Amino acid sequence: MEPVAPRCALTAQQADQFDRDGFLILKDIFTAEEVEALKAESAAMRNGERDLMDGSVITEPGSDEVRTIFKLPEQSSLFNRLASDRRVAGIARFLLGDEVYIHQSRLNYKPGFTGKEFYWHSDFETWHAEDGMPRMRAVSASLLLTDNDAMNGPLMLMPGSHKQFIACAGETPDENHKSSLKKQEVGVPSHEALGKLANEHGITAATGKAGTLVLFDCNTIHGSNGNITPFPRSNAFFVFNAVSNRLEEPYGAAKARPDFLAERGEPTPVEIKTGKLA
Amino acid sequence: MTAMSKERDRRSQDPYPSRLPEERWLPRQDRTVWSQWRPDAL
Repeated sequence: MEPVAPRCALTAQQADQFDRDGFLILKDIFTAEEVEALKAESAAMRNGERDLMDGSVITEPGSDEVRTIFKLPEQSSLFNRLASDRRVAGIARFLLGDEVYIHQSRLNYKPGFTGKEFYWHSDFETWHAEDGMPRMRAVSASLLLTDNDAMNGPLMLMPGSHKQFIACAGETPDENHKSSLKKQEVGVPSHEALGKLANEHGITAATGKAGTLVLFDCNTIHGSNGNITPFPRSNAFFVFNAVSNRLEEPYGAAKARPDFLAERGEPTPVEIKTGKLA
Repeated sequence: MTAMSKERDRRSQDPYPSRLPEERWLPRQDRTVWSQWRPDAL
């Protein structure tokens, strides 16, 4: 009898690795043509060739250079297709054991020379405190749109850090997201806690060619350095939340963050698609 | 039960309280991988 081709989006070893480390780096899962199409679409959005929704663009601190564009599927049919692809959403659905919906999506761009750092944090801490995400049942998928190496400020993760929750000190200021999107100061672990985590778990840089997919658990501690090389760094970022883990009222803030940061209301499950993106 | 007491109740049962006066380390109370792996898992 012919062996049956596995249908699961991950191997057993990859699933175990994600469980142990809290992240997974997948290479060569998109074709060169698909990656080129996504890079071209990303450039068009950033360069003003697309009409973008009001409030969906964040600029670098002290400049007008685009740092982030939110609500990708709503603003681009190609990124909408990417977000529903089996190689992205299919993996999220497997990891979360439920139908998934997009909690947040964005295009991140770290320009050469001036790209600023993202300080160490757990996404779940913010999503729980400020968005009202009840449990740790969400996963982030970051598709690299430029080559990421040790020099141009790649994502760094602390493997195994997702196994404990660092409850951060300090009240949430009103409208915290307006400053935290540029520089996060509330909802970050202390130097002491970060030192202990790094000594215990180490730090891994998620490097790879454009087209590499990085998946990480909502509670994995991560951050990135600034980029003083001439080479920009860019990625498309989707957060999938289990439909059963839909948002409630915030647990640690007076008011929920805006819709472009956290999808509220009745979740619309992603319809998983297979085949080439473009 | 009033809305305010419901909210107090919800927050008191929160397994991941944060933004409090002091930093705390709490154990994770959720799985990381929620599906059982098998070759034909969707």
